[in-house]
Amino acid sequence: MASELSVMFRRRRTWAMLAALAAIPVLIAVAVRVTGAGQSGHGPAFLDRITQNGLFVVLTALVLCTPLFLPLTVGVVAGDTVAGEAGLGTLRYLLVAPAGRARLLLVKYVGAAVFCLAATASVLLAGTVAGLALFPAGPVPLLSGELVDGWTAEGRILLVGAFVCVSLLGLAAVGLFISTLTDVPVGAMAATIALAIAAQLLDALPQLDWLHPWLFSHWWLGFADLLRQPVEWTSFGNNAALQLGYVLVFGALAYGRFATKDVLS
Amino acid sequence: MPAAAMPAVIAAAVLAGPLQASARIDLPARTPEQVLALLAGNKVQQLSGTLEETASLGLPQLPDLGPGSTGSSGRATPGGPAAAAANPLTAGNISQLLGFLTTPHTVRVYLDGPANQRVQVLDTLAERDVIRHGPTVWTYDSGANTATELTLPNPRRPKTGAPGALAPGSFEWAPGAVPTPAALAAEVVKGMDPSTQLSLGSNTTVAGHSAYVLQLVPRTGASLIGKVSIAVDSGTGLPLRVTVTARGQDSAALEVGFSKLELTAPPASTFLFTPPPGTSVTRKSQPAVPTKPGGFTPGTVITRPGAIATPLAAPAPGAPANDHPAVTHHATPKVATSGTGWATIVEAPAGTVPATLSGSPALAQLLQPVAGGHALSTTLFSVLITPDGAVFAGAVPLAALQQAAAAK
Repeated sequence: MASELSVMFRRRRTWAMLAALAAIPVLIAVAVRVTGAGQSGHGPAFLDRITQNGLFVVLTALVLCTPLFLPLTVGVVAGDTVAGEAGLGTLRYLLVAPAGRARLLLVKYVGAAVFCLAATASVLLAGTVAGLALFPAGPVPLLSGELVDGWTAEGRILLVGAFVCVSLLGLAAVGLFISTLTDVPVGAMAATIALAIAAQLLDALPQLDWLHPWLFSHWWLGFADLLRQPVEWTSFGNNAALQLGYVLVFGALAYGRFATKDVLS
Repeated sequence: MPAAAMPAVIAAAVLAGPLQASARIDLPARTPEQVLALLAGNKVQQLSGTLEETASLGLPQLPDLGPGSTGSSGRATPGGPAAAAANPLTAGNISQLLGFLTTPHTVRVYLDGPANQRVQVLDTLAERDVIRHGPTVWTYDSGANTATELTLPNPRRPKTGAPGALAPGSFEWAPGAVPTPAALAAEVVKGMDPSTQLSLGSNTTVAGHSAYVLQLVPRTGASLIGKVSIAVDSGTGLPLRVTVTARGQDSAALEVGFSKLELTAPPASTFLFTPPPGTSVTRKSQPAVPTKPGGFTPGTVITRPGAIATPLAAPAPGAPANDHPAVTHHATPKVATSGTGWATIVEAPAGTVPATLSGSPALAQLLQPVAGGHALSTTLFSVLITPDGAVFAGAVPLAALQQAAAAK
């Protein structure tokens, strides 16, 4: 397990992705600082609030990252889990060790989950630092109009981070499963990312509204419910249950596939 | 008049969804009349709850311009909500109306006596709030970052209807179009007459509260409405969910119901509101003439398609009826009705819809050109606007409206 994580975090690719994610809130903060506040009601949510309070940098960044950049990086990592080893020809050596395939799969998934956490954390951290460095801090207005002090707001933002991190776990499980299907890591990555985009497209089609609650991307922007007063926990619970379902189903599928797979590379 | 009750019905239908109670719920046996009395005796004054509303009216789903549209319509209208109330058919209101008709909403409601109300419309990444605390009513729109403070002349205005028995549906200040089950139920029951067949469905559970299900079925076949179901809390008589089903359909066309409900007082801080810094705030006090702005929300228009003309008429300060087409919409149109019971058709005379408005893109989005004018046709109600600005509406097929218009 430790070696898996150290391998992942020693890769230049991992750090490049985390740095790219961290750059997004920094870019937002610098752009707003240079050009001044946008008109209210235009651009991504929360963008117009940034000049009043730096903590909104984090929220704006999450609104931007959640549908695209975070799934992109998670797709790369999750798609690489098994297929990457197969592509490098190292998978069979891993299986020679008496650890068992289930354990290998579990370690790979935990590695992907840790990356989800690291990715979210890098956005949060960079956003908080950039926001507080360039803009005033102080009481933060919630969506309901109530003001909360900076520490409470930071607590809410950490909750939002937890929400976003949990949101990505389902996608990571899907990526793990796809990764067991192929020996070509790029294919698995592309398929995972394509699925993430397809799920969001389907979520936007009103004709498929019966399907929406079952899409792993359905609650992705539900983190705003944590910014209401009082906190609306329903979407957090729904999201967690849904992601857990995805982890179980696609974890089982991945195991079923991987346990019976002839590993030739 | 069931046509007027239709708003209630429609709003109620929005949320309904899964009412099928899997387990049998045992409640003391009651007759439909007893449940009706229970409903009428509803004295719930304190609650916190979450409402879900869904509509499936056979309209194409259009983007909900929700966040921001309240504020923008308020800004665009000189005089703010009061003036907006005077003419509900502004572009902003129409887009809200469209949003209500085509997309589901989640709304949190808090109530503590008649003077403390809060409604939160939970939009994606935004929220619209209306907070009433005593004589002060705040509206807040987080998307547009605007707030409005309205001071009422009397801290506690008597309610229309039964004073003291404030139904939680009576959120007079609900933003946009947010009908509550109680408001809908009140409308439906108010319109009850012999043309309605009253029965009880199997008991159900709504948001953890066991409920009787009162079913109202129009005896006439001329109405588009097939059935209205009202889930009535077995303990308090509070309407928990209203479902409207179109004739010949199984699934609800409109449903509003609680997904969460606690019959306890919300924390007092819920009703205290100070706009956050950076919000653009408008302040005004309500004119001494007690108009009823809440009554003019698009919700009213929707839920009461027959009443589209009345909001226009209401603010007319005693102006005599004027037949000049250019100005009639400032006067009081005579609203006539034809037909009876659920099939009632409401007619507002020529000029009710100003010519400027009938050509607006927002309205064009909503209406389709048909023989005899422009029409909105849904599974539950139809509205016909003739070229001279007269409005015909009712819970009847469009053809019936066209007939009525042609008969003029």
